[in-house]
Amino acid sequence: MTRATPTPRRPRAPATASQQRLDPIGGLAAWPLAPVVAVIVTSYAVVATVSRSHEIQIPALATEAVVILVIACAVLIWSARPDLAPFTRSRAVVIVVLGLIAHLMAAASTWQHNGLIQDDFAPMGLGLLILALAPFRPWKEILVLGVSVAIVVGCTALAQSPFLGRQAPAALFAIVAMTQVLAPTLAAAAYSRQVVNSIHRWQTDARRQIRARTEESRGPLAQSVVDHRLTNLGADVLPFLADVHEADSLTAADIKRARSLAFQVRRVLVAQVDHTWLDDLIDRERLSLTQRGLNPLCVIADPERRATGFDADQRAAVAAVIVALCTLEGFDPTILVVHIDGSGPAPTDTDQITQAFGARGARPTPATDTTTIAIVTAAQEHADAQARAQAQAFAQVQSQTKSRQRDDRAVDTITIQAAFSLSPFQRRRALRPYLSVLRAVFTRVRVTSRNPLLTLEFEAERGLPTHPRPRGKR
Amino acid sequence: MSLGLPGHLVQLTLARALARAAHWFALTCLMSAAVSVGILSIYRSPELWIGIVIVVTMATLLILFTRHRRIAFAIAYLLVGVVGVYVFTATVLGVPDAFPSSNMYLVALPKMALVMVGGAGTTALSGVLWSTAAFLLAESAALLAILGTTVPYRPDLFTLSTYLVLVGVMVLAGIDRRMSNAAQPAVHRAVQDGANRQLRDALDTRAIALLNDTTVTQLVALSLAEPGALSPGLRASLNYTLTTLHNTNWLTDIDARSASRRRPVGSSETDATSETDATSEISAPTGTGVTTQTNAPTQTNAPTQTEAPTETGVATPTDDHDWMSSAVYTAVERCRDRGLVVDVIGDRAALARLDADSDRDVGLAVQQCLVNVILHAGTSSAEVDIESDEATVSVLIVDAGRGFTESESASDRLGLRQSVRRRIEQLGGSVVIWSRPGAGASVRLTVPAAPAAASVAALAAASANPNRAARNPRTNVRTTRTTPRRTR
Repeated sequence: MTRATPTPRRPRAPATASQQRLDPIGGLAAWPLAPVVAVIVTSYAVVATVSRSHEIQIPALATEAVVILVIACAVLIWSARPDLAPFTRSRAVVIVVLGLIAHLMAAASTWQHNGLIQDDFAPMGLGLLILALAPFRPWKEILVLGVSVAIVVGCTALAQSPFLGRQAPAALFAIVAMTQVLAPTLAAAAYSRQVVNSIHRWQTDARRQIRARTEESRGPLAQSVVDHRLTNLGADVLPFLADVHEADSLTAADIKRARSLAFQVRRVLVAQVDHTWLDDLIDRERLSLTQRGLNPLCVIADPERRATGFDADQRAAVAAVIVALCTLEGFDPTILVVHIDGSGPAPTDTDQITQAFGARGARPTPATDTTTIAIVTAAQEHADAQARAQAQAFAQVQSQTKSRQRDDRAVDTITIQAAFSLSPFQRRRALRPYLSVLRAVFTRVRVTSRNPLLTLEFEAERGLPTHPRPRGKR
Repeated sequence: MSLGLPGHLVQLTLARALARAAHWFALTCLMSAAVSVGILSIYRSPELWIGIVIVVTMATLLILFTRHRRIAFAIAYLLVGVVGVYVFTATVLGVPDAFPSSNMYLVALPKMALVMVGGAGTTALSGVLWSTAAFLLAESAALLAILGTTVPYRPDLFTLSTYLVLVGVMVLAGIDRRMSNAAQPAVHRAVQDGANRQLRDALDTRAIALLNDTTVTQLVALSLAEPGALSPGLRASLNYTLTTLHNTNWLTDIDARSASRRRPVGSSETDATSETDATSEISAPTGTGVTTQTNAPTQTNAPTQTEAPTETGVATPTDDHDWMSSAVYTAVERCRDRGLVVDVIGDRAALARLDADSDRDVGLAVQQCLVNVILHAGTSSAEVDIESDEATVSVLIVDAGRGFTESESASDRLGLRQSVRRRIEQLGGSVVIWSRPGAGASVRLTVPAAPAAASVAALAAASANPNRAARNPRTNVRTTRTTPRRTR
């Protein structure tokens, strides 16, 4: 399967990738482009309208055209705001459609009295608006939007050509108008494509390096895991087994002891199995806070182990935020709460186990050791497995076709609360890059701040209970 | 995707992207100029062809520069462009009664294209310098040309605004306004930590599964035993547990195994060596030996002994080697040593399609299932049926024991959860369990396996023994069975 298909050395960036999505922190730096463009477009529209007032037949329409273009600019600034990231396709379409409406109204306001196509403010304004999409949208989308706009603008110019003041071939006017849109469009698309490819290339290399570094640490890591496990096993088990082995016989006391040791060891192991990466992370932060001489109180509430459903990017983003919170100046170590709940089924492991072994509340139950295998009636399990496979295939199709059906999705809501003795401004400044990363991998990121408490709330959508991927694909 | 560009790559990346954007802007302007002048020369004045030549030359130089990024091409583009702007402006504005003033968009097109040369600068400063030089030269050339025509001069705001926007963007991109300098490395570190944690979790999963297989199972077995001397089976398993726990290489012995597997299949001596390698790490020194199938130690193994020669008889040497070097074989052997009668049927050679990791984990999962049969099923026999298709290999472990009830199983979820289900799911496989009280249990482990290369050998082996399937009627019955059956 995975071995049979050689992967290309440079995998292509996904078609939906944009600079903002791939490099959210870098995307922060691009956002001032939007207000700058908005100011240029607005002032040009006003100046051009005023200076050509003698050509305007319907002043109301001309004013409305300018107003609508200003609205388009406002939408651009609003859409590009880092705290409202990501810049979605619908926002881009709204901006372009508003621009087009402004263009048509401006053309109508000077109908039959337009002196020169090249003085129209709308084509150039539209071109600049599309140029401002470059850091936020994928290049194909920019190209499609720009070319469509250019066609409309070209047609308007052709329609106006019989009434223009100059005698020239009609196509010439269309070309002049279209170039004002097409040149910035192509520039924006080229920028977006080049930046996305560069970032993607770097990410591919970086991931490969991370994999290599991880593999390098496999040996020591394995050793530490083994040591840790053997330590956890307690000092009693090995000597006990060795004693029994040596004596080659069992006493009633041995049997009793074996039973109690079995319960103990199992309890420890079950607790370990329920440990998630989030527990690990918080443990580590707690340790480093303690080392800094603080007395941390960090709470994780993830009763359904939903954290296990997060993918690597989401884990990294959450980890980066939590580490940043803990190391931030003025962080109050007594208040850090991470809470995960949500709708839809919890990730695979848990739901299967709950299905198979009954409610979690019953755990750990040191009862008689009778059997290790679960009961699930034949039909049930088989149907479950089939349904899972089908649903997984369905989810893949769904994700490709982009149509969303809420019923098939599980939504995890993560809430992180922390307290700081920082001013809201400083706090926002320090956390801005991390929030931009969160926004790139989670949906509906909300930040509420009630001094000194800061609450981050965001959602993760899971297609369906995820199975760990086959090794070959890692 | 949270791995953003690190600081040292930002400038270069942005500069490249801006260069791309500038070149496309310039090319669009030049193309548009060429088409416009073409249209004009057809309808108005044929002598305008010179304008097309100039524009096409500029475009060619621009493309060369984009492709090769040599400074010489940039200089050539600039110089040819300046001359071109002069000639273009003079010829276009020279068309009688066509243009009211000099500030026509058409006339500005080659100038805007020329200004875009600045986008090629690798730093913001050099870019601004190139652009400024191009802008000044182009405007002077155009002014000279306009003075030679009858058209009144008007300042060209198109080129000026293009120049200002370009310079603005370059300056904007050039200032490193990343106050978030610390954030990018922090995210990078978080990704690396995540990868480490994932590996650690995988190792831990395996370690916990192994501990459960060995320690917990052993303690449970001891707690269920009768006081007095240890039974041979119990002694053997105790021995195995102690050997495993003292062997600190639990998690790294895969490498040893895959190395042994890669050895060529040659003489029987080689086979024996590799088999010993494969099992020595974890096998218990049972005295009777675990490497051969026929000398299983206890008397309950009688049916196995009668069946074993038939099984090995039909298999080709490769088939046999594949089967005997698989971890499932080791697991089966170990449980046979403990007194369980295990029938192995189905496509045993298919196990060779598993890689070292999968092989080992499937073997351990099978072992856990068989150990469960020994400990809990109250029966002395089990069946292991190996099935395969294009992309997967399945192992079905069937026993006719007492089955399970929910209240019993709730007490002990670790064995199945960790030793069987997690292990298999970590391989990307699935586990299906059928069981009802009093009606035995079936566990099917399905894992993805390599399709082509390895299975070709298996297919060849199968076709070499066309009567193999017929000889074992149970195989056919079982592979066609899709619904669970527990009638025994």
